[in-house]
Amino acid sequence: MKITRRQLLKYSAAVAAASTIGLELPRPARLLATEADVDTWTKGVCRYCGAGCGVYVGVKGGKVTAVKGDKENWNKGFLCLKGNFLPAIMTAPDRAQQPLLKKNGQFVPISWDEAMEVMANKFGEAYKANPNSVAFYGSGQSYTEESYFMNKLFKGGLGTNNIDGNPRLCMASAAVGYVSTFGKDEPMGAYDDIYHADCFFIIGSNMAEAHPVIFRLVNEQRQRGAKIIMADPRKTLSAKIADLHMSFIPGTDLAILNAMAHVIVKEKLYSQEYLDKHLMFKKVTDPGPPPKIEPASWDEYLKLIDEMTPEAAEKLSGCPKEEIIMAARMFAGSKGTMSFWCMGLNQRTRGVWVNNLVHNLHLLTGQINRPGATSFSLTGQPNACGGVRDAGLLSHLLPYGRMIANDKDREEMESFWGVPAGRIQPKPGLTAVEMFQAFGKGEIKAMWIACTNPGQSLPNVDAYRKGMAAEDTFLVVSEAYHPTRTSELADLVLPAALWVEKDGTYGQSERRYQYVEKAVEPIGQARPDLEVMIDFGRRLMKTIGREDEAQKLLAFKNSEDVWNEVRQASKGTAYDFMGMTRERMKKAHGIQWPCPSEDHPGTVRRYTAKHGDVLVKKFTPEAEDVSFYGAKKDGNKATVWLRPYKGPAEPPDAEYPFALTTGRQIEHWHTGTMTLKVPELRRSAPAAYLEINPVDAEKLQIKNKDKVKVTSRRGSIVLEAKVMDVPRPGLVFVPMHYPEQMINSLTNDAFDALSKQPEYKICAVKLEKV
Amino acid sequence: MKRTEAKKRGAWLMTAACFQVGLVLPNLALAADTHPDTMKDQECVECHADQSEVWLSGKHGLMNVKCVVCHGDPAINFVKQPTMARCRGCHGDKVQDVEKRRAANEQSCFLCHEHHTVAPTASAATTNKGFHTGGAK
Repeated sequence: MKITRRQLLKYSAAVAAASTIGLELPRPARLLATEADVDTWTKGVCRYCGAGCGVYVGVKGGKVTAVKGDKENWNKGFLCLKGNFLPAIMTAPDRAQQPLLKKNGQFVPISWDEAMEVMANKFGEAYKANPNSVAFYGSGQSYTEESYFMNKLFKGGLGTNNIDGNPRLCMASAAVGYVSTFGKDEPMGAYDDIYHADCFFIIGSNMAEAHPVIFRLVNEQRQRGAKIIMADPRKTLSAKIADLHMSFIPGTDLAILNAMAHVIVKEKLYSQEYLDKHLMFKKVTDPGPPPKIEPASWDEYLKLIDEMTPEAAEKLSGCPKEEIIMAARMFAGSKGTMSFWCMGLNQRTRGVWVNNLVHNLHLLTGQINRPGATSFSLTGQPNACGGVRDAGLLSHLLPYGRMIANDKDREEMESFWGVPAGRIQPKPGLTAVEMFQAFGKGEIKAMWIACTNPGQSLPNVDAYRKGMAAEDTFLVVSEAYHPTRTSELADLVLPAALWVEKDGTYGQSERRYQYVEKAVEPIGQARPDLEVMIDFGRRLMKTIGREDEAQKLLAFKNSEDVWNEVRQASKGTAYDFMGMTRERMKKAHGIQWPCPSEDHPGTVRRYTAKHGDVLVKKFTPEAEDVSFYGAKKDGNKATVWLRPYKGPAEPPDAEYPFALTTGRQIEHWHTGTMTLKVPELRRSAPAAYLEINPVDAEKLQIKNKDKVKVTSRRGSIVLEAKVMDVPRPGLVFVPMHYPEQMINSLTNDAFDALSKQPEYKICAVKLEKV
Repeated sequence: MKRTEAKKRGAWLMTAACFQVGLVLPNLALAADTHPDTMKDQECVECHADQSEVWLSGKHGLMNVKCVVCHGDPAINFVKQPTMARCRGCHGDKVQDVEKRRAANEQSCFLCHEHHTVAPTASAATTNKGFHTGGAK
C-alpha cells in the first residue's frame, strides 16, 4: 500500500479537473449508485449520521453497486444526497488494504500476525509500567458489539478507565443534560412525535444539511400547519422554512432561553399541575469540582428568571424582545411542541447548562410526555447513542446507565463480567481532550484509535497532532482509509472492514437499534474491527499474565455472541432490550428500547405508561402515567435547573473581532474520509470557504472569491470568501470537512466542566484580505 | 412559479427528446453525455441559473437534492436527461410502479413529472391520479 495523502489529493483533483483541461481521462465507467445492476439486496442502515435511515444495499459480483431507502423504516424510503452515493465509499482508491508499520518514518507492509504481536507487546510493556498508560479512543461509528467489547476489555480486563469515544466531542453535553434533568440519558421521544407536533423549536441545528431526512419530515408537518421557530445566528437552509427566525449573538442563547422561561412564568403559561406532580428544582452552590448541588425553591427560580427579562436578553443577545416573547408564547401555547438541537448547543463550554434550559421550557409548560411534545437531541453519528452513550464507551460510564463513580454499579459489572472485585477503578478515566493532552506529554504511552479521525477533528488540532506524531509513544490507528490526517501520524495502521463488509448493530437518535447485515467481503486484507479487537485482547491479556482469565472474559466468536451478552447487560436496567434477539433484529426495521421481552414491540415514548412505556409500572407501580424512573433518588421527578447566563470562553474582542463557527454541508460528513472520495459530492462541494455577511465584507473590502486569511489565537488558514447574507454581521462560518484546510487548527479546545465537551462552535478570529 | 410559454414549450420538447432517446437508447445509463468544460470549483448555478431557480421552487430543491443526484458528475457520469433509475435511491417503489405498468419506451419519470420541480404535470395530475399506489409518498 503505497498511496500517500498527496497522491490521493492528486487523484481527486484529477477527476474534478478533467473537464477543465478538456482531457478525456479514462472513465471509470461508473454508474450512479441508484442505476447499477443488482443481484441481491441486504438490509442495513446508512453509514453516515445519527438519523439512522434504513437502507437496502444492492450487491452484484461481490461488490456494493447500489443503495435504496427502506420504505418500511422510519425514513419511508428516503435518503439524503450523501446516502444516495454510499456505494462509492467502498471502493475509494485510498481504502486501507494491509497492515502498515512505520519504520524510519516510512510505512512498511507487514502481516496481520506481526501487527498484532507488535501491538500486544507495545501495549503490554506500557501496561506493566503503569496500567493507566494505555488508552483506547473509540467512535460513534463503530458497531455496538465493537464498542462494548473494548469497554469490557479495558475496564473489566485491564482495569483502566482510559477509554473514551468521539461522542465526547459531539454528544456529551446532550447526554449529561438528559441525565441531570431526567435521571437517564437519551431522548424520551421519537421521530413519530414529528407527526403530532404543531410547533417545532429548532436551536443550534442546521437540520436541512446535517439531518436532511428528519428535516423532510418536519417540513411535511409544516405543510400540515405546524409552525417552526428557528433560533440560529445563521440564516441556514433550515431557516428557509421557519415562521420565526431568531438571530442572536453567538453564545447568548442561555439568556434567550431564560427570557423565554421568564415570559412563560410571567404570563402564567406554565402548567401548575405538571409542576406539582413531576418537577423539582436544583441549583449549584459551589462550582467545584466537583460541583455542590442543592435543591432550590420555586421562589429561587423566580428570582433567577426575574432578572432575565426579554429586554435584558435583547441587550445581551441582539435578538429583539418581541421575538423572544412570541417564541415563548408559541412554544407554550401549541398543542404539542417538539424541540430539536444539535452541536450548536452541545459543543459549548456551557453545553450542559443550555441543554438543561431547553428541557426547562418543556417541563415548565408540560410540553412533554405526550405525542408531539418532547425535547429531542439530534445525533451526529450513526452509533453515538447505541454504541457509546448506551454501551458506556466513555471514561466515566459503564454499560446501560451505570456509572464508574457508583460503587454498586461497579460491583454489578464486575460480577456480570466475572472479574475480581475491585478490578474496575472507581475514578473516571481521561476524557477525549485530556487523553490527547496526556498522550502529548507521554503520560499515555500506547494509544489505539479506531474508526475516527482526531488528527483532523480535535479542536486546536495542531497542538495535539504534535503529540500524536511523537516517537516516544506508540499510536495504532484502525481505519478503512489511509492516509487520513490521523493515520498519517500512526506507528501502526490496521486496515478496517467498512460498513457492510461486516455485521453489527447501530443505535440511532430515537433509541432505535438496527442490525446491519454483512453484504460483501472486506477489501484486500482488511478485517472487521471486532475480530481484530478479540485477537488483540487475547494477546494482550496473555502478555500481562491474564491468559486464563481471558479464556472466559473474551470468549466471543462473532458479533452475535457479543450481542447476546450486550442484551444480558441491559436486562433489568432502564434500557432493557432483552427482547431484541438477533433473529428478530434481522427481520425488523429497527426496534426502539426499552424492549424487555421478545413479544414486546418496542417503546416509542419513554416515561409515560399511558403512551406505552411498560417500565413505568415496573419501576414505579404507584405511578398513574408519568414517571422519570431513572431519577429514583429524586423521587422519580425531573429537575428544572437554575442556570444563569454565561457567555462563551472566547468571545470576540478588539484584537479578534469576529466570532467563528463551524459546521456541516449537506454534501459531506465529518472529516470527509468517505464523502470527499465520492466524485459527485466532491464536485458539488469541493473545498472549504469563509462565509461572511455582506455588511462585514464591505467594511473589509472583501468580495466574493477573494482570498481571506482567518486567524485565531491558535492558528491561521487562508480561504476563499463567500459573501452571503447567511451569518449575522460579526459572525463567520467555515465548513469542517476538508483535510487540506483544517478549520480545527483555529477552533477552541476549552471544554464544558460537566460534560468535557469542547467549544468548537464559538471562538474569536480576525480576518485579513490577502 | 408561473412558467412562461417559452419554458413550457422547452419542457415539452425536452420531454419529447427524452422519449425519443428512450426509444433509441433504452439503456441510456450506460452512456454518459458530454458536459462542457467547467472549472472544478464552479457551481452548477453559475451557468444554469434558470434551472436552479425552478429546482429551488420544488420539493427537491427545498430538500437540497442537488444536481449531481440526477445528472451525475460532469466529468464521470453526466447525463442530460436522467434515467428513471436515478430516482431509485429514494423512490424505489415508484420506479417499480413504472417498470411494471408502462411499456419500455414509456419508462421515464419525466413523462408525468415536470423537470426540476418534479411536480406532476398538469395533465398527469388529472389523467394519472393515483398511479403510484404504494411506495414512498
